[in-house]
Amino acid sequence: MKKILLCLLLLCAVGAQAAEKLPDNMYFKAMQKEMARSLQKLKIPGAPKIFYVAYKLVNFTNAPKVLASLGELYPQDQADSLLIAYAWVDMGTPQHDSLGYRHNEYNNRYNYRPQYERGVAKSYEGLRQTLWDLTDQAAVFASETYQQKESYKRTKTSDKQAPKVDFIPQPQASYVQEISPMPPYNVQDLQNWVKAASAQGKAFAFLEEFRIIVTPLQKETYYLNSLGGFYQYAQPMFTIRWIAKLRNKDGYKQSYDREIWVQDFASVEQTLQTHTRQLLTDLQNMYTAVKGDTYLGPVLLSPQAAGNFLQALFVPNVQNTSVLLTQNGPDSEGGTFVQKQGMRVISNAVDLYDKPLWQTYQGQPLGGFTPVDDEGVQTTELTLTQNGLLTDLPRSSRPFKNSTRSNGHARMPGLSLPREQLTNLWVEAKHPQTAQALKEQLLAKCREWGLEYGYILYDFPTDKNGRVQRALRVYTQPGKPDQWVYGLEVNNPNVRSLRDIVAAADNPAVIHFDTQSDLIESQSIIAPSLLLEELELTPSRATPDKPPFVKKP
Amino acid sequence: MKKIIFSLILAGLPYNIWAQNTCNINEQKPVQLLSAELKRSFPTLKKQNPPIYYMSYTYTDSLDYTLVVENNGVVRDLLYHNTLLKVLPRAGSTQMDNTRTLKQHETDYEQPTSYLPDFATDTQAFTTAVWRATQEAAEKAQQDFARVQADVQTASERADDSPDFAFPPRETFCEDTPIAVFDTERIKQLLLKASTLAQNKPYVLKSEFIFTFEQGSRYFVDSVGTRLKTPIRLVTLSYSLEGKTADGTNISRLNNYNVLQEKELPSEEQLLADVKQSLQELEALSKAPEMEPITVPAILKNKAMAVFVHEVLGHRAEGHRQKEDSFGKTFTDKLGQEIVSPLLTIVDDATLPYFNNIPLRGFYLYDDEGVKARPVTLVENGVFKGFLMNASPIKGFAASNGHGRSDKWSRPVARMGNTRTLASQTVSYDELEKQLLQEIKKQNKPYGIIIEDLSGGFTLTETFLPQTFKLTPTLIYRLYPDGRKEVVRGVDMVGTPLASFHEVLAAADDYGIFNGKCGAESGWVPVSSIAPSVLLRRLELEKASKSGTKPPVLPPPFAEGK
Repeated sequence: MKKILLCLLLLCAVGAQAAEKLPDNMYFKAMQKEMARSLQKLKIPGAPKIFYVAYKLVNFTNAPKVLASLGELYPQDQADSLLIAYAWVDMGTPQHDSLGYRHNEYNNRYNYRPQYERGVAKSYEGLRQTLWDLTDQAAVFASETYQQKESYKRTKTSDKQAPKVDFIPQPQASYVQEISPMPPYNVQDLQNWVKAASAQGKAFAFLEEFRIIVTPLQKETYYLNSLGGFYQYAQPMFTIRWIAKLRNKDGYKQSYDREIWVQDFASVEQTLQTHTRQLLTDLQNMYTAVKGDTYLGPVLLSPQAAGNFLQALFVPNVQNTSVLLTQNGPDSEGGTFVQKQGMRVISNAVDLYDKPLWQTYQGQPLGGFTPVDDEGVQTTELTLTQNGLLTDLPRSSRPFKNSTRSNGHARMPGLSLPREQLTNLWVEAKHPQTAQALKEQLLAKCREWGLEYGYILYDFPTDKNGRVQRALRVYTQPGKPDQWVYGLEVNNPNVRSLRDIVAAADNPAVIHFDTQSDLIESQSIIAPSLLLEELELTPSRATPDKPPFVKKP
Repeated sequence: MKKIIFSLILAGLPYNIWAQNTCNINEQKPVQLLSAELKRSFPTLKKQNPPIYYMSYTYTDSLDYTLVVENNGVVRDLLYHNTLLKVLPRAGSTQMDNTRTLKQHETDYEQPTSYLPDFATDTQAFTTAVWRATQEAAEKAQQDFARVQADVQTASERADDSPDFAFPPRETFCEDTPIAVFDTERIKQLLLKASTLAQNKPYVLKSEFIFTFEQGSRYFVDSVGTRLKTPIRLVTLSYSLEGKTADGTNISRLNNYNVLQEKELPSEEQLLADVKQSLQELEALSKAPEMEPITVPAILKNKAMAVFVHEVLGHRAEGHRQKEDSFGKTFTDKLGQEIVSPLLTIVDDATLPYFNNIPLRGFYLYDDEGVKARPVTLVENGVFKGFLMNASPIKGFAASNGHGRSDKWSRPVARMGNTRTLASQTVSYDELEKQLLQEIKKQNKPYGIIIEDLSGGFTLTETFLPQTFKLTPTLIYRLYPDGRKEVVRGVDMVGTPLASFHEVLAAADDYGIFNGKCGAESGWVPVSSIAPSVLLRRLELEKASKSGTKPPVLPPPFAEGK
């Protein structure tokens, strides 16, 4: 059996099944050449044979970013470019391979990592040199891991439910997009827009800091593996980031950091204007807000908060589905919904989909665009939940339970080997309502609960100790004005709340996460406002800061 | 034997790029804005509890360029405009303030910094950012002072209870040095060409060719009234070649050229010849036998001696350390005593811009506490004379002598600038080698050692550790009694400071420069060290550490079959 499988693998490697032609550029030439040399000649004495090699090259090109504060530009930098290379090597056989085991001595997630180098020379020779070095490191690492993984397996009796094979080679795919230089844009216009937008902050005396940063950038990705899968594409975009700091009227220090991506230069000005105005209104509200109190009852989440809510409670539970081993047993990073297929995990007010092939949504680039995954498998759209039931999960070539077929969702979460990850999570309302109708429904529910007011949250903490930055108290009594509230925390957020969604609006918006690092694949969520039956909010125990020693100039 | 009279102005200035282009300090916009904000805030800050009794602003406005080339390709080509403000408030009083070294906890040397916007059309953004940075820094200084107070309550008595700060004198200085223009495209092509030389060599595992500059001005404003504008100009072209032997010893060859203008850079012929020479040395190292630990007579070549003086003596002569009870205080009570061979005189002179036509990285006019730089004699004819001082007094040294230094993110402590080692009697280098041969025979040793180059090293000065030094030679020769030389590898220089400097028997007249960066608690600062080659009666060598991994299984891509 082993022989047959290896022969199949070789066939895959020789006659790449991918439909596209391998792009004729130095990136692929270098990867192909070094991969062939490694497969043919790289043998570590005493270690099993290498049967799989994969390389990924990511080139970030940043045009000079434009940064301004209170109407004045910061000095302009030159354009920058950074090439990062990754290499994976797998040894042994697909039944018993070297990946997916964590050494005890490095008890952290990075132990699964590919070898990588940040800052690679942009030449054929430089790429070859780096890939040679990384492949050697990856092979040494694979050799050590293989021995330890085998040793671990020998200490365990076989689990009947556990997969019998470590890695199941899948049909390979390809995706090739012609890569052009970053589209030109008018630097002077961009500077003027950013300057003008940031100058609006001058009118808000309470702002201690107000900066806007626009970064034109292009991320180019090149991937090749020894089974024949490959891809190449580029994502040009403008990232717009607002950073503000203030001390609210009660003296609490608060900060606000928001990022929006747009694809076209033409959209930058409008986005800057609209969002800066909205952001300054938000900041004004944060300044005048009153301290929140303990609350238990229905809550309405804005699209931004809904995205954060799903990011915190749904996304981690459906990812990392295959079981990786450690000396102390299976790792604890696996999603908890793996065993819940067919069960009700979320309210039936929404259906959730994963949309890897969406490159943009309403002109905004999406971070999860993945035509082919990091195992060379064609990415497919997933229906994750339907009528509240969990119907599918992201899968890779590493099997779990009875699942043996990848759906092309092996992506790199941090410096890890490709694992099962979502791409672009799309939240579809079954019976979408207007935002106003949802607010009315919130108030109606509050009345049912006998509450004087309810809350609309404009963000949702994605970590356990996080605070809600912006919350609006809405009163059931007609005519009583809404009131902004600060200092609320969500008490013990847990997956139970997913089943508390009672309605969704027709106002989907995009949020991105894992966007700040150039070493992590980013993801996007497109979610509308969500109404929750119940959420517990508690006031933060933080004490206010004293006013500054000297008044702002 | 030739006898020379050393002088502090030995180094002639071939063309003075640092010739003063004076300016009016009061017309400098950053000085105006920082002074105005200081004037506005300082009276209020002084009234806080604990009071902010002193404050300085250091504003760096520089163009920073980095070009990295490897294997005929560009890794990084980045120019950025740096406008960084460092705020340094002192909370408490001169007798005890927030900067005191904690006895029982880690001391934080990092200072709040902030990147500042332009001020061309409107100063509001600039002054708001300065105000915010001041507030943050003042809050941190007060918190640090509270930590000091808590530490003092339970810490053991200090051996030296000198105050924490002495107000520096008021200074005014303004110099405009134009930014030197470099043809970076030409330099890129030069480095690309040089990088190809390392490509097909099986013993080269990694090679890197770098050109960097940092050029601009530093503005200093403090509550004493000091107002300074001083130039920043650091330009370096360097390369490194790395390999590994089968037993896991890392080997390397490094070279750098410090210049101020493009015409001072090495010519293409010179650079390529130097790279070829370094490649030959690396190849020789890759085949060289590994040495066993031994004590033998040795020559420290000039650059190696320069590093030796910096690491082994220089750091121990930094003033602020003398009142830290955890510090070894090798020289604290040695004033007026002979601590090194009477052949040697050691002076730290940051005012020296060049030596032998080579710009010195440790040159500066005013230190990072606004104190004017001046030559400081550490050792005269072997006798210890004094310490390098910043504004933190120690017993017998009440004021700074212009050696308060730090990087852009830390608070200054006493550091070296240009450390010059002068020998009162010298011979030619050839004569020094002859003397080494005589010493080998006299001591009946199988061979002597020539340390050609050091990559750096470290010196332990804490009392809970052995107060030794360990320096890493990158190129060593064994010199046999018959005059034959052999490249060897795999050993480090070790020893203790007081014993080692007394082993100097003779010096050559071949002064060489180590131009580099020195790291300590106040960050990385540019330094230079100048020294002649010296003959040591004995030098102890011990096994160097190895990487623990083999070299790569396959040869580099373009070196197969070579």
